Amino acid sequence: MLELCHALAPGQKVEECNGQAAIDADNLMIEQSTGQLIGGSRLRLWENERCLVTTKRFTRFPNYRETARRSAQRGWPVFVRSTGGTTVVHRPGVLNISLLTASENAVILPNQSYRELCDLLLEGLRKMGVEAELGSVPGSFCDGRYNICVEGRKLAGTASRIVRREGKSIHLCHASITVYGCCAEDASLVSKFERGIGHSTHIDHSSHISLKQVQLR
Amino acid sequence: MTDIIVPRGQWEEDQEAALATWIYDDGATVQAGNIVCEIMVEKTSFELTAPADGILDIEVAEDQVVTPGQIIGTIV
Repeated sequence: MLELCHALAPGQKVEECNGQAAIDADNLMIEQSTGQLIGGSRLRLWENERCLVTTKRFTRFPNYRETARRSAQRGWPVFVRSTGGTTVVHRPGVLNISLLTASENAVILPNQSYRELCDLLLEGLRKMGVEAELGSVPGSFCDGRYNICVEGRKLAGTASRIVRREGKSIHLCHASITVYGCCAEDASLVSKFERGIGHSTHIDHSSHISLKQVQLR
Repeated sequence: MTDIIVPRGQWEEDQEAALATWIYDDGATVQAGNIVCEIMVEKTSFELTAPADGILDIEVAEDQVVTPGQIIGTIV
């Protein structure tokens, strides 16, 4: 974990967070940045306690409340984020990276909102001797075109949010990279939760890989 | 009556957008500037705000594909 953090942002500490507050801190960063940071950016490295993080859309599924309650009883409370995608796992061993950028009166396209953080991640991994690339990984949870992949398996997922505040464009890109821990168990947790709420999903438990697994090869 | 319209020029033409979430229920009272829904493109979320004060009349359901210029609801 420390090696990765040093490669991404030397000297920056990892925030040890818990629960919904850890996720809401990204939204707070957006609101606090209005009127500031024009042309600049702010990086946040953070690690959350064990939880599932889903999207607002899924909270409207008929079985959401009961499924979330059961998940919490098993030690995996469910929280909600404002960026896109589907359900993901937060836990010790999963490093979250949030990059906020603000610009004046500019239209930010989705592709552009991912570029800076993805470049930072790819370069940081390269410093560690890991060659990664961007791409979709069918069968992975929360799949998208801007996953960070190694050998066709998903090492990190990304999502972004673009907002307008007081005439300014603010975009927040977030990544979750699995540094260590069992990816198959993560996939199983997400699969169980999404099926529980009634969302049709097929997750391949071998579609994810941790940084530790990559380094042991 | 004021339409809520999917904005143009916010994403590439070949990218598919979907109405992810209505923040307010159909029939809710909203004020101009309130965030009323979110649109999702490539796991990127965009906010749409109410263009006027009034009652929200939802015309497009969550998870439906939307296109720039489309009317997805109205404020009456």
